[in-house]
Amino acid sequence: MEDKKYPGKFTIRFNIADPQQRAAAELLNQQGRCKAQFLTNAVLFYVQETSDGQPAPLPEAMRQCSIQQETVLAEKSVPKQSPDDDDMESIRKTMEAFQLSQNNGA
Amino acid sequence: MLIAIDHGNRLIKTPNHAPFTSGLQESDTPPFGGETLKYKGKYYTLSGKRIPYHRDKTEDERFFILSLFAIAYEIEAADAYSANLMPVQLAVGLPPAHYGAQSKAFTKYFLDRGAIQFDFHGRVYSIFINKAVCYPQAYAAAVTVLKSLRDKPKAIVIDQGGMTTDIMLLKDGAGDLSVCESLEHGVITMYNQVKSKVSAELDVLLEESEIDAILMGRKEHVSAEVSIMVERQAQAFVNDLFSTLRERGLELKSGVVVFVGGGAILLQRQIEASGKVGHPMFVEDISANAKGFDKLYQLTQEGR
Repeated sequence: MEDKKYPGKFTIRFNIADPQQRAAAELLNQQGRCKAQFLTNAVLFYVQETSDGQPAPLPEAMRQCSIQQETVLAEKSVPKQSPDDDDMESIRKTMEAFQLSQNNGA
Repeated sequence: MLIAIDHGNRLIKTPNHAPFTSGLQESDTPPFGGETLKYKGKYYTLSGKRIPYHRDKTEDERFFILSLFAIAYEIEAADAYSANLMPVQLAVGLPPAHYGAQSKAFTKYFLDRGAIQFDFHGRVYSIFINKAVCYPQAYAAAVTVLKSLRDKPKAIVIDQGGMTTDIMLLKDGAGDLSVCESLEHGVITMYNQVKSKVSAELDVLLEESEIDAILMGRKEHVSAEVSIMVERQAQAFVNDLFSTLRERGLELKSGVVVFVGGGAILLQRQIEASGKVGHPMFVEDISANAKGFDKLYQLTQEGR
């Protein structure tokens, strides 16, 4: 295939009959003059190279983003006070009781 | 980023922002003034007039829109705004008596919405809610003072909110769900009783904010007759609540009674004057439930 004359230029048509593509098109239409940056952010989040260079599935990409975000926030946050074992035990027992009520639909 | 939200019938509370009224106005054109958020082509402005009571907050989108405000406020408070897509985990809550029946539907309400984009305070937010966990109100607030309850053989937690008063029992700091109720007896009920009485007998129409001011000791804007009537009605409301609890077999003169919620803060003088509570403890932070959700999430979810 010949090299593109303008490698940064794309023409793309979404299939409006497809609900996902319609949703994507609606999001892009809201971006005004920032479509290119929005697509850049989305593509870079989605494509995370694994060791064999294959793209990771979206949930993994989101998890990596989450780890990066939490690392940044942890640096800004106050150190957490660790609960003692007795507190953890009473919390565990109480939440188990509530989970049981949830499972029973009570 | 973890964001905790307490969706009250009267106020939305988060750990790091002032509470705001659970009220919303929608318009197709940009409104003038107010805190406004643009989502899916519509403008939503926070309103001082709360949404009428809905036992099921997932009936429509209004509480979701209010959650977007809460999320943006917390992101701003943490100075964590990013123009990129931000993953968000939500810690939310329900009255303990409704938790079993409604918690799954409530968490589902926030999930599976894909990338959510909205405009607020001149910035474009893009968020992705990848997790939502629901916790019981009242218990969450008690978790913020759990160390002082752990050695108490009996502690009754009374969370007095806008529409409901939630009651649960702790034994040695752990929940005993044999006592877990949600009474439709919140401060909104009190406001309505006070307004009716003052209007009928003194021909004065009071706003809820004026009733709050009188109960907090600021009476200069009303006559002595009005302030006395408001105080009496508030005392009657508190006495009725305690009588109802007594009818249900709850003894408030023994053990510790932990009062949480905006209603408890407002009615602290009346609660103490009732003579029906042996050892009251007041959690004066109106955001205690939200802080409790945050803490419970960190203790139960982190590392998973």
